[in-house]
Amino acid sequence: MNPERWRQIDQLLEAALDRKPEERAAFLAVACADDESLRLEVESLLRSDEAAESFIEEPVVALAADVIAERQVQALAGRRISHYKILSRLGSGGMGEVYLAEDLKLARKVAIKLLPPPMTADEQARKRLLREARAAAALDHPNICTIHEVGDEAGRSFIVMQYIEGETLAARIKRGRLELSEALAIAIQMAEALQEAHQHGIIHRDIKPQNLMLTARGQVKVLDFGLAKVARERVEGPEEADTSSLMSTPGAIVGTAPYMSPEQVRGERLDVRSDIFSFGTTLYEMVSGRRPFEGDTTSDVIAAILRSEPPTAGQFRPDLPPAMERIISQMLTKDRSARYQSAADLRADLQRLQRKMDVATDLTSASETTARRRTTGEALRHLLPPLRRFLRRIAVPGGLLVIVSGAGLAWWNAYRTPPGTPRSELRISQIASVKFGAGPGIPWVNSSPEGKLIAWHAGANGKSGIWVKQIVGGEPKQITDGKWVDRDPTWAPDGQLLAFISDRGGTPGIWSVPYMGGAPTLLREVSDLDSKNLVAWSQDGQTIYYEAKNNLYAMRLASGQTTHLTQFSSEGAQVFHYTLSPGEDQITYTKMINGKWRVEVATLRGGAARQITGAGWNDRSPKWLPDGRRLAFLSDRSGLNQVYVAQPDGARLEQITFGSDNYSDLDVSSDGKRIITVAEKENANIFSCDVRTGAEVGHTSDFGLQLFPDLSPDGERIAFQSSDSGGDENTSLSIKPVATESQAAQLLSPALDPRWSPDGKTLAFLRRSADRYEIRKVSPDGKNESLLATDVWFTSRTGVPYNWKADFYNWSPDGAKIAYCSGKSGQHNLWTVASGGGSDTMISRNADEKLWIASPLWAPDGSRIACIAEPKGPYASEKVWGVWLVGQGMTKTVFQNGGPLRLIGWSASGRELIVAAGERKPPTYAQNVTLIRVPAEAGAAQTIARLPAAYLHNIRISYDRLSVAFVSRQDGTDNIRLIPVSGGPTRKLTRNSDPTIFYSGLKWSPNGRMLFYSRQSNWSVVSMIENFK
Amino acid sequence: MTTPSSQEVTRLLLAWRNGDQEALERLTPLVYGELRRMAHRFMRRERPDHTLQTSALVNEAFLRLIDYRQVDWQGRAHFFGIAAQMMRQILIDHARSHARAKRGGGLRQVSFEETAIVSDQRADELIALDDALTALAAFDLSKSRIVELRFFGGLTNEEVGEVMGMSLRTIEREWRKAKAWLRRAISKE
Repeated sequence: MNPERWRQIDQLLEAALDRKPEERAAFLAVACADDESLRLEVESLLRSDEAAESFIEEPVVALAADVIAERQVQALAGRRISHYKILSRLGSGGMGEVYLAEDLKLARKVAIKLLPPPMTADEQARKRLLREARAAAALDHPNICTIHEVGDEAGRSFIVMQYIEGETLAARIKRGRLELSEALAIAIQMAEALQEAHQHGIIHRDIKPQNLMLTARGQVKVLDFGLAKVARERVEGPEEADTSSLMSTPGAIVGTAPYMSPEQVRGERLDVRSDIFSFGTTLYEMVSGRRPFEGDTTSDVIAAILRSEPPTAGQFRPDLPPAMERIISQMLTKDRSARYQSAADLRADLQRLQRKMDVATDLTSASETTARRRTTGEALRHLLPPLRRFLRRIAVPGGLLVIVSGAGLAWWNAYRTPPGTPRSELRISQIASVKFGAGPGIPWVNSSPEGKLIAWHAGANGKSGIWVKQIVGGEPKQITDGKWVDRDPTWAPDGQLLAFISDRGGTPGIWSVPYMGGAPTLLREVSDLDSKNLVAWSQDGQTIYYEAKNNLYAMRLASGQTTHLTQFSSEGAQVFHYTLSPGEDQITYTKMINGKWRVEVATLRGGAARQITGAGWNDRSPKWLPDGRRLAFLSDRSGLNQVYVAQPDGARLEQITFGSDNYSDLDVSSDGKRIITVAEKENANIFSCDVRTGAEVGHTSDFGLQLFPDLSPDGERIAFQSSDSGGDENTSLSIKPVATESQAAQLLSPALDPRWSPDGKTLAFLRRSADRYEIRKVSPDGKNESLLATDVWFTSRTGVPYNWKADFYNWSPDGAKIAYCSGKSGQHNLWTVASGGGSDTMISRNADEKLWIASPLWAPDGSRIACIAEPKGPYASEKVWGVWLVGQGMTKTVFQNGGPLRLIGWSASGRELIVAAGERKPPTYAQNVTLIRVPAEAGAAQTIARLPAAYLHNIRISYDRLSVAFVSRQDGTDNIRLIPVSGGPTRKLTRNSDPTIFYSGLKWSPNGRMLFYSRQSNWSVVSMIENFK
Repeated sequence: MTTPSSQEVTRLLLAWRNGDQEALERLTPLVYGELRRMAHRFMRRERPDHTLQTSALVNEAFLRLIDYRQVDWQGRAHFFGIAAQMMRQILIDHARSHARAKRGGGLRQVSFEETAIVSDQRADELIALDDALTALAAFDLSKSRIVELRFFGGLTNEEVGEVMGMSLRTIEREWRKAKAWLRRAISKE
């Protein structure tokens, strides 16, 4: 179609759609005048608009995901593994995909479970698998699925099992709860299977409906006996833990949350009684259709398993014989010594009941009654904080640093730190914990030739300096001034000098500096620094190796002559992280193909590259061990980036670390005895300081992030948001008394940015719901939660230090309303909603779709609201920020600026606004901020003060509107400072001298005597791994 | 959470938003790789009642790939935009090969369950929509992108607005008109 013509049609269509259906024909008749084809076209589109909803309405992301996943499975169709021919996929279990296959020797169908490559590539895990599976293969019982063979071929381990036609108990339960006689028949067979296995010393560890097959003839087959212990070798990512099997490293947890025993949850040594508990949860579900321990999240479920007594199954099933109820409740006893002690005892009781039922006449006649709904999940929420502390406590015995990281249920990671790593002799010690600011932390480490020192680069605010530290002992020492971007410290062969890349204020090149510090010397000028990374300094000291745009180069220092060492094209794969072998004859590097990173090795004098690792995982940062054969590298195949060591042929791969750290780089010491790693962490806690003395007091001391405190009007309680790590998804609203040591109470989750109502009786907060944000309110006791407004405009917080980029909502002075911003009816505008609910009104008149309206701020008398109008799009070059005044039926601009603006407050009289103007810099940069007094009516704006090196997003006016508190970063440290609103000298309040502490989220106490905020640290932890081989 | 490529992905995403088209080309395989990995994990989840939230997959990929401290909401929306293009390509490839197999082109000896992922009707719908969208793009690129973001990317109207730099109201109007056109185009075929 002709675009011109289309535009005409499109406009008319829109105009017609804006009209009532009955008016459209007349409208088109006039609008199209004599253009008949135009009218027909628009009418046909209108008819299409009125047609029934079509499939276009429903997004197909889930379908795409299935397709993506299936693509990986397809490749196996028809393949032969040993003498088994894969026919089709049957399903997936915790340990891997299960396929239907044909045994070509015996001409029978079998089920073959293919273990995923990471497991099979790990020699140690493979051995354990073989051992466990062989033990299980010895079980010969009609109710246990037989294991025919355990083997491996082409690097993949597999378990061949009896193929059972039927459905899983899980599928059966899904169709509806079981008849009592059926449930009992199944339970007795299960008990027999358990009895048999337990007699052979084999514990199942993962009894659940998914692991029980029911054949058409009513026979029960328990799957995967003894394999759960093997399964845990395959460490899963935390995001998988929440719905699926909770895999873990040895000594920790194995099982599937809703079916786990309390001792399993606690990571204790398991015995047969754990299987009996899991069996109890399964039996409970069979007869009641419900799980005894439920919750919205894994943590809720775990809390229930540890703490709560499930409602008796009979509550959901009035016809349940009391004897059955007693059996189930004895299986589910938390204290294992009070539980059934053996499957044999249990089986005896079940059989006794079965005999009784056979003679009973009327057991199933009771009419079905509606089961009462459970609210276990809600009732348990208050249990979570203590549980979290408990979990942290039990997680620590491993001796590894347990600081949670990652999104979602990240505290769960604590579980994954094993009380003993599989290599009991492995020693991991933290050698440096380097806090950092807005920069990327420590992106790499480099160990010195004699193996006693390490170097890295680190800094803040876009600058970095070179640091050196002894591996054992000593403090890190910064050896370049950190005024420029000095990076990639690379040791000279004699270990005396470090080469690094920097432009050092106009001379881009490769520089050197003595490792003890001193004046840097230019080795060679080099252009286009940004694309280059240093790789190594040659053994003879004559050559520097560097990588640039996928390739490795050697530069003679004397002549500057540069040689291409690799020939990767600039398209296709990306190649980086080059490392030379100790003999400088081989290289290893990370190559990214199809979005996956893998490790390859090649010889420098030609020859084909060999792929060492990589099959759907991200393997990277390879470093040679001194034998010039093995490689240490990072891989995320266990979910987090962990350290692995590979043989040169890639045949053997050993996972070295199993902790909760997520490593970002590693290096191997020259003697090969140590692996140096770097990982990143973050932490923030609530503090306050006395406005007179500047004395600081901590109010929380917890892992994770405690942010954005808000003081109750009586000044007695702090509300804040807490999360274990970064994202907004799992942030909770917590309340803590200011005066006492008592623990913070977690009110609800998810919740962001809590704000007390002026009367202190209500807390408002933001909640993310399906990618939109809502304003909700709740009583401080956690009751009466209700929704106030939807589609609230929200934008992320800034980088470190974390601050909100805008005020998203504000209570009116009388507490009757809340103002917020939303684009829910077209353009972005200011809205108010009654805090009692209802009366949601758009009050500003913005018609410009390129504007955000943000940060509503009520005048002291509540008559008007000031707000910021900001052009959308971060890169608009001619951006002008405005201050608007909305209310009394009008919207007007009272101030404009060519740089970002923040509203600080109204003056006491309500006739002026205090505004902060910043520079056009990222919000995390301490910058020159100007405080400006802007008249609300007429008159010129006046500069009050200039705040040097202040954070634009962390400036707060006191309740009496006389003082402004702000955080500024002077002499490299964050401190809180005060300035009178009338102008005048600033006063430094806090006496922080630690450059790595950041102050965020300032709030005044209502009486003006205290300031509350978070003290935040982000740090890179450098660790040393020893005894890894 | 820092995944191996998060710094790189974040940098590329920011570069792309700054107008560096090459960055998009380099970003795409990274995102695809992550989606593939996430999808695999999603599929393996055992709870029988588990259903995939519309954009949970992409969201999770985003969280894993991007240093959210550096990327704001708009950056997130852009990321979703890339994912949408990718989802479209993946699904349409699949639907077309499904359709080919149905027409007798499939000589595979064993049938894999993947045939069940996309029903015949679904495959036909997807192909028809893809063709119609391509046609629409020829004279109204903006509408075709809106549909792509919503249908293939699972974005809400508001998110589509972020990616497109348009107001919610505009997106709602454009979406309605796009649907009218597409419905007609598809039913004609």
